[in-house]
Amino acid sequence: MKIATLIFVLLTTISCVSIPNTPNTYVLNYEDFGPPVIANELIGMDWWQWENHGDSRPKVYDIKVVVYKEITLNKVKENYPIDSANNKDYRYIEYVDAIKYLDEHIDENVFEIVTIKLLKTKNILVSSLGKK
Amino acid sequence: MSSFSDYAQQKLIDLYENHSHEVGIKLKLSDPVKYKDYESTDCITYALNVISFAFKSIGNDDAAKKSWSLGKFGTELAKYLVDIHSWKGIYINPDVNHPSDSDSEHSYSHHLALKKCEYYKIPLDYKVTNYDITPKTSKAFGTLNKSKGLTALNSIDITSLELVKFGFGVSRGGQHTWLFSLGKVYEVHWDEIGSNLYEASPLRTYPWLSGAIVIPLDQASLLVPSTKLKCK
Repeated sequence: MKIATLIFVLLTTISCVSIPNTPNTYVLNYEDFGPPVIANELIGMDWWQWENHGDSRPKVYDIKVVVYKEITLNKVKENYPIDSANNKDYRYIEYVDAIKYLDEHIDENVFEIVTIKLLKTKNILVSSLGKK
Repeated sequence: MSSFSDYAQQKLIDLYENHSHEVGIKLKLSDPVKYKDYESTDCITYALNVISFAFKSIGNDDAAKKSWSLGKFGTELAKYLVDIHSWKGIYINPDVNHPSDSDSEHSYSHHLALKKCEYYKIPLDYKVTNYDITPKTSKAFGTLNKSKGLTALNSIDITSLELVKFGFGVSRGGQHTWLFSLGKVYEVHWDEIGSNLYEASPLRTYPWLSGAIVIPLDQASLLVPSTKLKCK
């Protein structure tokens, strides 16, 4: 019962996105990978990828991260196409790379609040796409 | 004889005060016909206009050209200025423990600045921090670092930075770029025109919080010794 509740909480707190997931992909928000100062090495910068920079006033961009497994990158791009005209910005990350990144930063545990967020992200990926 | 910083400061102020020929690039894109007679600008274009002018003024046309080619991304331009022209990188953060927007970006970038002497791969030699402390009464206080008390105010380091004549600034890994002179941030808003296109505001209260400023080598001697980073 506790596990079911935990999974429900994780699903509702992390994955409040309307973009459909598939058995081989899971869509998360940029913020689920921690602050940009670490996340940029995995998923790029936290502004539109078709711009050289962002707004001159602090702003949050709706950037989605598609984690994929046992599916080709081309297929993922087909399913989640980048569309600058409609501000659809997707970053594509292979499952193993996402987990490696999350494990590294969870182990570092620099700030508890960040570590908790990364742990939640890892848990949701493992429960959705499996362990390996 | 004038230095790079003298020329840069002169151009920075000139554009800040005289820009009736310019419009923010987003505004121009939204109505190209209406703004057809205006030159488009944005935050990085302002920086490149100033930096390339100063390089040309000291006779380095190659560096002026190279700056434009790298200027697509603010962090790459900053890294070029440090790596090739021996500029010095300064990490900035008004309150390393309790950022006023509660965003972990600021405390995390501080952690990495101290550990690696880098800000998004821009080499750092100095840090100027804790110059605008988040009060205990703020909602943001303690949201990131629950166990830490009020951060000690450091007015000495920021006061020395405020003597620096010219610098190029980068916020949030290059999401925004700006220029710095004598304690003020000079920036362009890409969705504005006229008196709102350019803005000057004190660095001490700049809302982007953490970031980096790169400054010409001759300006670095103005910084007090306590600003030196020690991870090298």
